Amino acid sequence: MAKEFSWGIDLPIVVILYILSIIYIGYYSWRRRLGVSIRDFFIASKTLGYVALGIGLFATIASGNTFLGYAGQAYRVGGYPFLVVPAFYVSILIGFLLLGSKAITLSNKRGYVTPGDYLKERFGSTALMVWLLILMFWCTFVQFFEQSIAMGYIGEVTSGGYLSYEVSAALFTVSVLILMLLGGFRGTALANFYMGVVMVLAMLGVLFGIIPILGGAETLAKALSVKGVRAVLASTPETYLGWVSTVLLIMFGVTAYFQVWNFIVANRDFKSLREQFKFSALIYAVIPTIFVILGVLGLALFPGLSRAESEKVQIYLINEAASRSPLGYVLGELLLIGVIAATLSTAAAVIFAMSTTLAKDFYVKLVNPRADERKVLNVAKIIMIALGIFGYIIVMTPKLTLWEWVVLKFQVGLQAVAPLLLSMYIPWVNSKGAWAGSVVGFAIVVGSYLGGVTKIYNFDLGVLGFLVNIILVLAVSYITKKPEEISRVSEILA
Amino acid sequence: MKLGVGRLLLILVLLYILLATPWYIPKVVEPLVLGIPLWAVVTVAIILVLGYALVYTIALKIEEVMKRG
Repeated sequence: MAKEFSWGIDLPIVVILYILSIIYIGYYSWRRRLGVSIRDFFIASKTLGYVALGIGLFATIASGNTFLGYAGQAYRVGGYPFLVVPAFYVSILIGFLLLGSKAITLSNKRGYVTPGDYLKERFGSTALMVWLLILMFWCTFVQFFEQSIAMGYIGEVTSGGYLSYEVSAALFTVSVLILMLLGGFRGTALANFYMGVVMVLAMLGVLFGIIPILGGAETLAKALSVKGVRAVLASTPETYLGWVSTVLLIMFGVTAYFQVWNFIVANRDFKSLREQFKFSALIYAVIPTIFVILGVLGLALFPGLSRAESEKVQIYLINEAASRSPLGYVLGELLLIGVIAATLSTAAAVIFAMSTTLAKDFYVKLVNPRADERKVLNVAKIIMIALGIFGYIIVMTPKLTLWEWVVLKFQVGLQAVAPLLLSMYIPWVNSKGAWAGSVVGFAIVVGSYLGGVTKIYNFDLGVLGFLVNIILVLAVSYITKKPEEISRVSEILA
Repeated sequence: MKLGVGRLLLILVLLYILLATPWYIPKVVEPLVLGIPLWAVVTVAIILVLGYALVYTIALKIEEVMKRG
């Protein structure tokens, strides 16, 4: 089997043309003089359609690590146990519903653009707003960190080695910055839609082209006799507890991402979000399943890979398909472009969302409440540039000690999600309950990490902290509730 | 009991977790569908069906409740 393959010069040319086409979307938005007000720059004045927002949101959620790393992860767990991924991907749609059912209406009625706009008015406490935003910020920052690391590696790999790690990272960073600075949310969302379409087409190419070229059903059946393949799930409570806690972790954790908030409140109404589910359920169930199949094919064609080698199993499969037929070459190239699309779309949405929150929530609410629209937009753009530069620094120093904390991405963010969501649905949830729940939940997460015990019976302790968090938010709020406070909040939520 | 948006979502979360976890699917290697164990195909099919029969349907119901106010 051919692990290595020499791609033609057409590959880096296609990569560069693709990146230029993304930059053009930013230029197009700028040329039409869009994004000149805060509402337009940050949420495109709620004028984007459900197809653009739905596909764009998928592109935001599925990162380069997903598109390049999931086949390797499936390979390492023995193939089929990785089917938990389609289960938690579809659960993300429930997370969108949990947030969107209230956030879209509140945004329309009260003019909220960022989570801080809501939290400050809902709880009436700047300190609590800052604390919850920091928890959410950690979740989003880790995503930013992951994408920054991925940009250099993925650029180098997907260009067939023609573009170096440093050049790829610089090229990706500059293109993302130009897109966001010129296009604002509209440019970012439209580019994400474009990239999402490429990602879906690439995966269809894998399903109907690359998998058959690699032997399809015959190779998959052959995999069942390969050592290390787990064709059945162990029917133990630990297996199902692990499955349930993973689904809960992602279902609720995804609502802690600032970029998800951006894409959700950008819907003009709830119907626009619901319309997305006409196609997104199919995308969210099928695409992760294709990675499971790729992992199994990898086990059949390249058995016995080391952990480091298994990270590259998808590249080995693409190389093998490209070496077998011209169609495999073309579809392999499309998949490599799809990996770039997954990386850039997530990076753009994350940097945009972080700069939005830092400018609107931290700068305006804590530093300069009298800042006019022009100043807020300029601050947001400066933050974008600073984040881009910081991301490039991360790319050049990938061994920061911070990296090990990445495993706590959703576990930390979840502790803000409990008060955030409960406060949208229950008027008597108050700041005392929010403080008690989120602080104890956070302490459980950090304590379990420092203590080296992150799971009990395969159930994630971060999710356990989240469940304790929910109970405390409800119990403390109920005990300390005040009629005048409930009356004030009921007006906001009405 | 009035079925508001919050309760509909709570039902959705509980039902999804119950049904998307494949505890009730017999997991045996044979028979195969396109080289894939049948239980794996059924698991994905159920998750996809849940995406429409459960998630999309409840989203529709929530929209109705919101319209009624």
